[in-house]
Parts: sequence; C-alpha cells; structure tokens
Amino acid sequence: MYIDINLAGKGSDLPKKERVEKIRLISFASLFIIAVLSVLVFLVNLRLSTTSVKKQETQVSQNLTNYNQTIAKISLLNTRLSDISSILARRTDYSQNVEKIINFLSSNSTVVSYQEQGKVLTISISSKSLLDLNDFLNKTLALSSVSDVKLTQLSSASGAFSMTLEVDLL
Amino acid sequence: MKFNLNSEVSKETLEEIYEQNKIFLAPAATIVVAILLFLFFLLPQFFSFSQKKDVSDVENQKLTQLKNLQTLASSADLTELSSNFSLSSLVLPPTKDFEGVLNTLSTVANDTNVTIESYQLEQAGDTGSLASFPSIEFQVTLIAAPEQTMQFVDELSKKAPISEVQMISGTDTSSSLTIDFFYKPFSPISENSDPNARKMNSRESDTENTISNWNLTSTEIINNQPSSQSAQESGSPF
Repeated sequence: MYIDINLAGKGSDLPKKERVEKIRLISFASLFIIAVLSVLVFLVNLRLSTTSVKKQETQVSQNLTNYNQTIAKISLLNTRLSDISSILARRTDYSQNVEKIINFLSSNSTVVSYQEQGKVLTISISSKSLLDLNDFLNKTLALSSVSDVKLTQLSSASGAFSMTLEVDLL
Repeated sequence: MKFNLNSEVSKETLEEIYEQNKIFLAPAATIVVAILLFLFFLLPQFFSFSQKKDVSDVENQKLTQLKNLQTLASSADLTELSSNFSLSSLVLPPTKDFEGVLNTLSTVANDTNVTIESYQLEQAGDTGSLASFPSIEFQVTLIAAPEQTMQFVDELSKKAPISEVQMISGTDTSSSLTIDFFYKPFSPISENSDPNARKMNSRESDTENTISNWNLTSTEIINNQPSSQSAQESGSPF
C-alpha cells in the first residue's frame, strides 16, 4: 500500500532507466564510429603511403645507371634538334624572293648594285628602255611577298636610264 | 558543531549524488574519450589527406617518368641514335667549327659554279643574330651574278653548320655576303631528371627529317667533324 502511495519514487525510476539505456547506446555508438573511422584512416594512409613507390623509384633508378650514356645521348639529341628547329624557324632567308625579283629583269636591263639586309632589298638597275624599268617595277609591286616598294632614284644619262628601288619584303 | 554538520551534509550529499549517478559514469566517460579521439586524432588525419595525396601523386608521377625513361633507353636503337646525334652535332656544332665552315663554303661554291674570291672571319665571339645562339661571322666575296649568288645562298641554307645570311650586296658580276654560322656548347645533363630525356616530340622529329634531307654526303660528314684544334670547350660530353 505504501509503495503505491510513493508515486514520485516509481515515476523517477523509469525515465532514469531510459536515460541510462540511451547514454549506453550513445557510448557504444560513438565507440563504434571511432573504430570505423580509425580503420578508414588507416586504410587511406596505407593507400597514400609513398614507401613502396619510393622503393620502386630507387630500384628503377639503379636499373637506369646501365643506360647512362644512352640517356645522355637521347637528351642531347632532343636538345640539339630543338635548338636547330628554333634556328630554322627564326632565321631569315630572302634569297628566293630576291631571286624572283631579279628574274623580272629583261634582257636589256642589268643590275648595277643590290643590297639585301633584314627585310629590305635595295636594288639599282639600268636599262636603255624606260618601259623595261616600268615593267620591272610593276612586276615587283605585284609580288605577294613584297609589302612595299619605294622608288628612291630615277635618272638618265648617256641614253640609259637607271632606277633605284627600296623593296620591303614580308 | 555547525561546521562539522555542514561538511558531513556536504559529504553525504556528494555520496548520494555519486550513488544515484554512478551508473552514468562509464558511458559518459566513453563518450568524452570518443569525442577527444575524434577531435585530436581523427580530424587532423582527415585534414592531412589532401597534402598526402599531393605528395603521393608527385611520387607516382616521378615513378612513371622513370619507368618510361627505362623503356625508352632499353628499346633505343643505338646505331640510329648515334647517327642522329652525329648529324645534329654536325648541323649545330658544340664548338666554333672553322674547318667545317670553310669546307662548306667550298662545297657550295663548287655545287653552284661560283668562285669564292675571298673570305674573312669578321667576329668569332658569342654574338648571334638569334638570341641565345652564338655564332662565327664570315664575310665572303663571290665572283657571281646576282642569280648565282641567290643560288649559293639557297644551297648554303641546307648545309652544315647551320647558318644565316645577314646581308647580301653586290653588282652584276660580284657579291659580298655576311654569314653567321651557329654553334652551341652542350649543356650539362642532370641524372634521370633531365626533362629532355624523353621520346622525341613532333617538332624535333620534323627537324630530324629536315636535316636528314639536306643530303650531307658522307664526305662532308667526315670532313666536317667538329675540329678539336679550334675547340676551346670540350666537343663531346662523353
């Protein structure tokens, strides 16, 4: 009978039991989570470990000592070819263009002087026919590798005409 | 008396609290330890994964490069490699190749029916029209019409040592050329980590084909071997 009256005591036991159960559950769960995460960390560290990779590197490096001369030749060859390629790409060669321009000369015309430096060709020609000089000038102007032509001198003497052109090459 | 009562009460209270709650102690301590482990052990490990991955990637890349180099070196045709190396060293010699230059001028003059009236060494220092490529400069006078001179220049562009004509001037019967002949000493090679110790790329392969097609005859190759007497630096890295 007295036990039945003591409602407070009975009421506080149940929530306490539940709280104990809950907190035990949480503690087991947290232990389990920590264990799982620890295993994961271990596996990831194993996966990212560089020990075996470095061992292999050492082994391959040792094998490569048998090929030192071959490797040196390969490296030097590649460097040399790369350098030659740079020179070929950047060196100027206007001989073909200059040859084309000179070929525009008629049989009555002669080259007095010419100079080609960088992208500029300066050429003096002489002819008995002004028409030939004009023809030469027009053909030079029409050449696709020529960006500009300046007539810097035109004169005549003793029945012959001479002309100096400054030709800008592309 | 009062003091003793208070301490006795306090002691009894503590004991009572302990008795009531001792069942919670172990699980609570477990949770606290778990939290501490997570915060001070697991979390730093998680943060370090990215850095470890980067290090691992770098090492794996190194290993791949070394393995590729091993494959390349073990499968290389040594005869072809030596031949290509000789050809490239002929075209761009490691030293000032005066003998090679003179031989080439002579050969080209013969091939284009041009007479060399005179030649003169202008500069033998490390001055080049192309940046980073030292050269020796020659002034060459030819007995040649302009067309022949252009043929001479064109033919010279496909000979060794590789050259660049800086200036051409002349008249109807003679011409004067300023020509740079390039050379470049060998660079030191670092063991196994040299970036050029790899398979030839397409640009290098094209260049190799180009200079192979220059038809440098065996006579020229023999005559134009880099001259040791003109060398100030070592002509071979071996």
